[in-house]
Amino acid sequence: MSDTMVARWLSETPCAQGLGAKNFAKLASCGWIEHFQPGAFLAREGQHASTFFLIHAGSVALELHDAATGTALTETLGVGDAIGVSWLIPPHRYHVDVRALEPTDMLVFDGDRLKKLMDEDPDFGFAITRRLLARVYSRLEELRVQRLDLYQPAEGRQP
Amino acid sequence: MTPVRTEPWVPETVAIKRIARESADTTTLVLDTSARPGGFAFKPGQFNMLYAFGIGEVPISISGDPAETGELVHTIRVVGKVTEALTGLTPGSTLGLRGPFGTHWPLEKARDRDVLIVAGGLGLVPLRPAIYEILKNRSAYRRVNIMYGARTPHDILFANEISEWRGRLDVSLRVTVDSAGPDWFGHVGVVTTLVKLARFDPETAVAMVCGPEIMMRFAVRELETQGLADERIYLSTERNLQCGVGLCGHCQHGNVFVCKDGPVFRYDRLAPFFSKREV
Repeated sequence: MSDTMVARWLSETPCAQGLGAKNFAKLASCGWIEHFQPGAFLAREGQHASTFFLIHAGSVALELHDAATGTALTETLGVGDAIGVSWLIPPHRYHVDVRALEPTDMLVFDGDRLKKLMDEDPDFGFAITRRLLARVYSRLEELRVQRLDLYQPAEGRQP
Repeated sequence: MTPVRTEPWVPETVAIKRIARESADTTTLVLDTSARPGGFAFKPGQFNMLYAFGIGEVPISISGDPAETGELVHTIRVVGKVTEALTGLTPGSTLGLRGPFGTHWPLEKARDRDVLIVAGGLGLVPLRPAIYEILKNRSAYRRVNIMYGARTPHDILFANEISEWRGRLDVSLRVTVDSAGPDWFGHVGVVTTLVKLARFDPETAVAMVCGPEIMMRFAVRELETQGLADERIYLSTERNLQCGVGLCGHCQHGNVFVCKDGPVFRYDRLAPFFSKREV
C-alpha cells in the first residue's frame, strides 16, 4: 500500500489532528496498512508488543481469557481509536487479546522505529506522547464508570 | 375500572391486561385503561404512582406509547417489596394508580433539530414513549440518534423493538454493554462512548438522557465535550418520589421538587446540585 494512502488515512484520524507537517510526516513514515478478517487476532496477551494500531474501518474486541470462566469481552474499539501503548512502556507485552470483529482496516505503526524517532526529537516525542496520554486518560475515565456496574439496582434505592 | 378521580392523593383501581418478562428482574405490566373516559393520556417522560394493595406505593415511569390511550404500560424492575409485589401480579388482578405526574421530554423543542437519546439500563423506560413519538412523527426531526447501554446482552430491554428500530434507515441506533462473552458481536463499553460516534449538529441538537446519575453526569460531560450547550441537554432524575404533587418534600433536590418540577429537567437547572453529594 502506498505512502500516500497511509498519509491519507492518517490525516483522517483524530490522533493526527494538529500534529504539524513535520511530525505528521515522521509518524506516517513508521506506518503501513493491514487488513484483518473477522476473528483474526491483531495481538495476543503476553506477546511482545512492537506495534500500535489506528483503526481506519471496522472494529475490534479487547478480550481476556480465563481457563475457568472463559473469554470476557472487556471493550470494543472502532473507527479512529488507537490500540496499544505497550510498545512504549516496558515490559512491552500486550495485556489483552485484540480480535477483529468485522473486516477491519488498520494503520499499523512500527513501535521500535517510532520510539527511536521520539527519542531523537523530543518535540515529536512530546506530541505523540500527549496524544496517547489523552486517549489513555479518556479510556481510564470510561473504565472507571464501567467498573461501577451502574445498572445494578442499588440497595434500598426504591421500595 | 373505577371512574376517573380528580384528587391526586386517591388511587383509582386498574386491572392488569397482560404481562411481559423483559429480563430476569424486569417485568412490563400492561394496564387496561380502555374504560376510562378518554383513556389514559400522558406525555413522554411522565410517571405514575403504582400501589400494591396492602404493601405500598412506588413511582414508576410510563414506558408505553402515548397514542395508545386504551392501555397503560409500566416496566418495573424488582428492587424491593413493593416492586416484587407489583411484578408478581397476574393478568386480571388489580393495582392502585395515581397520575400522570411530572414534566415531560422536550419533543416540541426538539422539532427540526438533531436528536440524541442516551439511555442507560432502566433509563430506557421513560425514554421509550419519546422514541415512539419521534418515530411516529419522524419527518418533524432531523437526525435521530438513539444510544443505549445495558449491563450485559441478557439485560437489554425491549430487544425486539430495538432490533426493529435498528432496522430503520432513518434512525441511528447503537447499543453497548458493559461486559459480554465472545458470542456478542456488538459494542462493549460505557454508553457515553457512543456519543462521540453520533452525527449531530452541536449548535442546535437536543439531547435527552436517562439512567443512573453517575452515567448521566458522564454523558453530560461527553455531550458538552462534543459542543452541546447545557440548555439543550435534558435529564430525567429519580429521587424518593412519594406524593407526586410537590407537597410532602421527600423528593426535594435543592430548591426543586423532582415530582412536580421534574422528573425531566433541563440540565442547566439541575447543574448546581447534580454532582453535590450533600443534596
